[in-house]
Amino acid sequence: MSIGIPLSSWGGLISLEIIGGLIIATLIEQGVNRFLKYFLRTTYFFPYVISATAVALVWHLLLNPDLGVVNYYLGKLGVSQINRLFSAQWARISIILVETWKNIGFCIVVFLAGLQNIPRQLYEAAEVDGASKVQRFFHITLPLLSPTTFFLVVVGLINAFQIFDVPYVLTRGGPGGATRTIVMYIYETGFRFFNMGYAATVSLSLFVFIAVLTLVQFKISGRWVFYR
Amino acid sequence: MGPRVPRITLFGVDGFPLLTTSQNPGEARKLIKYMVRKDVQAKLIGTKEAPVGNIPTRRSLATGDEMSIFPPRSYKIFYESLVKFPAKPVPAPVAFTRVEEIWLRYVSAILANEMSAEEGCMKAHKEIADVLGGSNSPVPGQGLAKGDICVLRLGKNTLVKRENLAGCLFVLPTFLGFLFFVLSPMVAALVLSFYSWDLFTPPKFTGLSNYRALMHDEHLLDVYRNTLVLVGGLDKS
Repeated sequence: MSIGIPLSSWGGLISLEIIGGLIIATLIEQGVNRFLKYFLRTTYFFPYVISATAVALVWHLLLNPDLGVVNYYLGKLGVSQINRLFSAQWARISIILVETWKNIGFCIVVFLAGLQNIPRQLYEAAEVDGASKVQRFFHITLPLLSPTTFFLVVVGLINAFQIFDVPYVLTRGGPGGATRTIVMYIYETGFRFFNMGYAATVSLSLFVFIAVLTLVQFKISGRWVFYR
Repeated sequence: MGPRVPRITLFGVDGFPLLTTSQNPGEARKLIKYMVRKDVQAKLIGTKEAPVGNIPTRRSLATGDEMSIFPPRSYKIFYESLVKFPAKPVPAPVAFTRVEEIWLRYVSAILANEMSAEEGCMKAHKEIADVLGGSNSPVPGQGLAKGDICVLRLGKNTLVKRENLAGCLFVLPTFLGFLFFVLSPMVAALVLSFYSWDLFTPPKFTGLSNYRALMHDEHLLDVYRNTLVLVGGLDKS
């Protein structure tokens, strides 16, 4: 299957959420107009408030090969018109993008709060010393945002590994089980094959997995998280 | 071993130290012995007609019968409080800074003769009792007139305990939700993992067989890999 861009370069939904959220939050913070800032913040946060099932249903329509606008505009750009949810690669990319679209507002709002906590004097001092905008971003914004980023990574990973509703509505785990997630497997084991005991065991394995992952993150956080 | 003597911190009283680096320790010791002699101390205090004003180093001079020279009116409180309430370092209670502020304000008012000592103590006591949340206000003019000092006791109903209670009450709803919707399902899942249950017949205890199945489940690896691809973008193909 060739789609031009290998999936690995797309990154998972966690990196898209964090990096995309950081970029958008920084741009919003730069904005001169206060009301534009409020407007954008609200707009980006809105999908986060909507039920995941509703979001997935809407995107299911948008991705529909006959009715959806996504294929229509991709077709105008010369991309072949296929059912994106019938190809393993495209189905994954669709799920990642829909999940990111839904959750990025949360990252933006938390990053905006973190940005407002950075003292102006640091930027002024750096400006006097002749630091460029890019240097100020990498040497002031990024290190001082590290506690915010750490929070978002921890919470984001805990939530991301329990991803269920969007892929369930979009693909039901297909095609060929390529998008069947852990929680979907637990749900099917328990409520379609009625093997409650085994479903409980799998969910415990997920619990242990997430707990260890979170513990490791806290252990290595000392190397890159700076508290003022 | 002698009788148990309470550790007492004195302040505002003269002392005569003998330095270990002293050139003439013998002479110094003689001088100290001379300085603390009763008659010498009495001279330092002075007489009723011509008071010098030092506080006597020897307590007997202040409390003894012959020392009705010109006892400072509150000297008994001073000496008795040393024994009754021996000072020792303790961690500052939560309300300490507020109590200290109130106390110092009234002490300076008393020292500046803006109010009488009794009035100041009563007002300070009332204000401090309000801060600590207690209701044990003394009967006016009773305890204090006899020379007792105000004693602050942290009763049952202190500020600290009330704040703790308020905190617990605020956390309670969330904690109940966590208990019923997170913790108990987790424990139930842990118990259920040792059973085989199809929802229609009663659960059968099967020991570790579910965990054994977990080890040999290739679907499990697939779903973990799928989730990792979605979350981290780790593509294997």
